[in-house]
Amino acid sequence: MRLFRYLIFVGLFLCLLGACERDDLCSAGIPKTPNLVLRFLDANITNDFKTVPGLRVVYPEVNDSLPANGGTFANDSIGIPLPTGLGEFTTTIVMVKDAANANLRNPDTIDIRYLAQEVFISKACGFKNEFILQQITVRNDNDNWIRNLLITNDTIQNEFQAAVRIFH
Amino acid sequence: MNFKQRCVFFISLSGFFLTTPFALAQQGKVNPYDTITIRDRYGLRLGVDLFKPARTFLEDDFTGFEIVADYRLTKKHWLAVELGYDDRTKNEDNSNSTIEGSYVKAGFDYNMHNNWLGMENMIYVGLRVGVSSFSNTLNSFNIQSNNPFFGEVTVEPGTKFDNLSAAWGEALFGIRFEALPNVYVNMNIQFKGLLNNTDPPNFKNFHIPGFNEVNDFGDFGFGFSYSVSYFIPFYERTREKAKK
Repeated sequence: MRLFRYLIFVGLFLCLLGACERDDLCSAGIPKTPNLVLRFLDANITNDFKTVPGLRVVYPEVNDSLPANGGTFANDSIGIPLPTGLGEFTTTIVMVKDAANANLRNPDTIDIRYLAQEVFISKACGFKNEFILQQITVRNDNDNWIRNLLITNDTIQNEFQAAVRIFH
Repeated sequence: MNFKQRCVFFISLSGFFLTTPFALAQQGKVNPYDTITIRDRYGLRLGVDLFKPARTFLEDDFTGFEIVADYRLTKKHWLAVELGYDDRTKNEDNSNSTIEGSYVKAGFDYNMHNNWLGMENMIYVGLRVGVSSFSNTLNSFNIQSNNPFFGEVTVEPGTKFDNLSAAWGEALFGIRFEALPNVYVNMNIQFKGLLNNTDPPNFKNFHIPGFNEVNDFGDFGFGFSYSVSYFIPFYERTREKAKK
């Protein structure tokens, strides 16, 4: 009978083990919702990449702007976040050239229409968004520094390629 | 002296007195008075798991029960079946889903323990194959942004994925002992490996009834059960045991 008493204790101990679960973590290295990658090119020599001096990205809908180094990859491209959710969205973003210089400051307003879809990542991370760009236009304010916009990749699943080329 | 010791003593004593006059005359022959008839009881054990009703009562996110049954085939082999139902809501950091369904497991148990006279306990190893049919409802989830600029968005679609199924294999190790006349207590641990699992499109089953938690990193699982059964004897088989 002593054997069975011992086994009962073992059983209770194993019961506690049964409640143990390994904590799944969503590590920072796992890619989540991709940013919209824009590449800036020369409007006259359309194969040359051209840096935008003093670029500032403003989101009027949330009354905020990206920090000075927020979302920049290199001098001629930038990755900017799009509002997340499910369904079709139209968002307005103001791209300001020479934002620090009061004389040269030139804001141009861009409207982006896109579809946001959910994609499952893992148990720990949950879901991320993927975007399908439908339309991107610049509002005419008689002083546009942006000459043309071209969607090169309308399905945004990662940040490896630029989705839009901006000619200025 | 307990029952066991008294038995052994009586048998030894009677064996000594009965065989002494004959032992000298018949050397090397098994004396009929020395054999003891041992009868093994064969039948069906039916019971319920006790952890599941306890968890149903204590946890908000869980409802379930399990019925266990085993049937003796040979002296050391049992056929075992478990039938159960789980309704579990998995409230993770970034999603909330409800998995609800039933399962059945069937297999064999092998008793490794040599019972002393009159005892019917088991220390066993077993194998099972389990199948489950269930539904998975995605109640809500968060959309993760790479950029903390916008923060997290929570969506509540409430999509229900029906007719999901899974199959797995189990290896068990446990004990079953007779706590009261014909009432047996069973405890075992189970090591499970998934064989087949239908995940819903663009989602995943975080829990499978009968298999318990599904990991992100492997197809194995773990379980523990504690049940009480009642033994219904059907027939007895005799076991000849010669004693010199």
